[in-house]
Amino acid sequence: MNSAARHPGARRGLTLVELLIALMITAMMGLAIGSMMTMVGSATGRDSVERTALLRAHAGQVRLRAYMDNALSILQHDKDTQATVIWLYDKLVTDSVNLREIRLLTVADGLVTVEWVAFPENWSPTMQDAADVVLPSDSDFIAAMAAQRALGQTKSTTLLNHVQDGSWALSAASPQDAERARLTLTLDAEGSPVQALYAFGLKDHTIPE
Amino acid sequence: MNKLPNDMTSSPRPEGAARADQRRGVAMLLALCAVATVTIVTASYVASRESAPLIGDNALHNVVAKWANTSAGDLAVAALETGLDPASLADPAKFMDSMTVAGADVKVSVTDANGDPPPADATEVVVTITATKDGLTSTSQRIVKLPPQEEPVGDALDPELNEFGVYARSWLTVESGAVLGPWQVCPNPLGDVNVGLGFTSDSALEVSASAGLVSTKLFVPSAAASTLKARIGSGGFAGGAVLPDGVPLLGDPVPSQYATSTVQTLTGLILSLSSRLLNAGTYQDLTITSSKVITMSGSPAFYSCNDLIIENSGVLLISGDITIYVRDDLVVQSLGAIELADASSRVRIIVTDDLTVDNGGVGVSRTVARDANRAVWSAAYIDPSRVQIIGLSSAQGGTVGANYYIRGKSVVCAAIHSPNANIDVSGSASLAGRATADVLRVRTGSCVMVDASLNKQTGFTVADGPLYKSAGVLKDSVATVLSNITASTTIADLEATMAVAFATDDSVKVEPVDGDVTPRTADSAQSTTWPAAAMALEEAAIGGSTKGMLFDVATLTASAEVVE
Repeated sequence: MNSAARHPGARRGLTLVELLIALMITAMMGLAIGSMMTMVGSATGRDSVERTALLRAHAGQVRLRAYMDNALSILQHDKDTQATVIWLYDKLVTDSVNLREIRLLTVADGLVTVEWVAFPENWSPTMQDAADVVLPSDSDFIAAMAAQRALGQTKSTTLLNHVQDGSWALSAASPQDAERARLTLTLDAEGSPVQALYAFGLKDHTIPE
Repeated sequence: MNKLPNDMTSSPRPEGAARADQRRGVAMLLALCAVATVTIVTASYVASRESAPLIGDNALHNVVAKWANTSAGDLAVAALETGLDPASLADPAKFMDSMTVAGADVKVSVTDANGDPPPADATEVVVTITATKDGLTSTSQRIVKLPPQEEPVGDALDPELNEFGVYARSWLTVESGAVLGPWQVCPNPLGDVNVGLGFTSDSALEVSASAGLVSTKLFVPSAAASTLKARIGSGGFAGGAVLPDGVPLLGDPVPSQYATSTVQTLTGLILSLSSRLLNAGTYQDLTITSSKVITMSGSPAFYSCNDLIIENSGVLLISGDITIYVRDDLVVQSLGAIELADASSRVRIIVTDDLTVDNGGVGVSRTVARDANRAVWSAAYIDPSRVQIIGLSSAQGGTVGANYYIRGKSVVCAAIHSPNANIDVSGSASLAGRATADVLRVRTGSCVMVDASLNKQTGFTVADGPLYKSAGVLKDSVATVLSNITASTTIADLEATMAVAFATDDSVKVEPVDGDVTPRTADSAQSTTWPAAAMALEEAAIGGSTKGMLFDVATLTASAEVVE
């Protein structure tokens, strides 16, 4: 007759060894599951970050192409600051660059921004056209934009953020002769840099007078 | 061992049950939990992977939409190269509607720069292309120039020189603070302002360094001094060229209707008592005053008078197709107005002597004319060719050196062609349209706003146009007609000569493109892209006004925001 039969109210318990073994197994299983979930979570999170960076890069491509696809010429490029001035359209005086026709693209402070000349809205169209002077092809367009900025007559918007670095490569020594351009951006994906390459062709390339 | 009936103790349990109790534990539970966890994690991981293909699909559809857009734009330009006049379409806004290109739904509209249906024989239109593939839209705009390719020489040679925004035979002055540029509300605000000169001396061209020359091109005679030729493309002029000899500067003859028109009065008429319709015919002095509205009506109808004076808020209302022969002076002053009754009305005023518009309006509504603070941008656009002011030919009595004064903040919307007149625009006045004069002076604070749509891009200013057989060399027939012009030749004489001389011509110089396609003429539609998406981004960034864009901000802003 066993102890359970002799003592109807008592149940056989676990020995210490059995308990320890069970605890160890439970702990190992929990550790395994936990590490697996952590790994999957981090992988998913990394994928999400990379996907976000990819989407951001794609958005940047769409916005940059809105400018570069229609650009007539790259007027000026500063290798030190990577500031680039493009001739976006030719409206006022044919074959000549006017103030409002240029755009300044800069990569700085984590942003890719575009800046343009915008005269006060209370100016009449005639006044605006009169102030929209012709810039000779050998002008310092970056300085011209800076001058307008000093007058408070420019506006800017961000094309892309979380940008660590950027650099332009042109297909010709002289920016105005370049018919193709490549922009390399390093995007910040939560500590992991992601490089994006953008190639542009100026299909309506025109050299200004 | 059998249990006694009154034994209150529990029966001993079988050995198997006792072992089962001893084996009770949490292993199964743990295993179930582990399986459930793994299942959940796996399912979520798989679900997250499903979005990656969708992202790829979006990128693919974006590319499809973009290239469908480009293809549709090229197709639209090719359609315009066939000579199709977009104004002839029932709805140019649906130039192509719900067409499928490479699986994308494409819509193309053709409009003018303001988004309105293009006028007949438009020389520049805006083509807007929208391509949609699975919810992703690509929108672009192109500016398409449509230089007439089959313009008969007779139509290309315009005796009234509408291809020139201003033409000055002897002198041109644009003072500091004066403006000479395009009229922003005309159908072609992007067009050039052609400035033609009939003189050869550099000193006769006085343009202040502080004058507002906008989109102007300078055209000088072949015999011009080298210093004058050197000003082409400089000093505010963006370009230009040398004109051939013989640009005609002619006036109108006395209208043929004058000889047979009914004589209405033998004395001067002061119309100050009541507004009424004036019968066609010949009058002496006509004065419209005291806010009365006098209507000249008919299609066509001829009126003649000695002096025509409109003053003190009086209104001359033009209804229909009216010709007015002013045998002396035309005066519009003191809030007076010459107003067109409706969109189909037009007037041709032949002036013998002087013209004065002082604190009044011509070609504008009475509301504008009666506003002493009026300005050209307060006037709605009208086609200036609907208000023609023509100087009478000097050979038929027109005054040489007649004075045309536009002053006192007056607004004149008209096409003025008076080669013998001295036109002086001063006192913050505005002339919207065009002008031909002997002497033209635009004073400080005044402006001449040119309607570039009057230029059909086929005349003397187009070196490879229908008038030329090679660059800069006129066709023999054209040169012959121009060489036969004398001091007594009138516009009507020249038009009659042209009708005979240019009865057959070979204006078409560009050969159609051959092949198994609809015949079309190369370069008859010249397209340049407009950075619509960039403009939409900028407008959305600063608050979404329509300034800076051709039109239709909403669609383009929406397509830009899809990217976010």
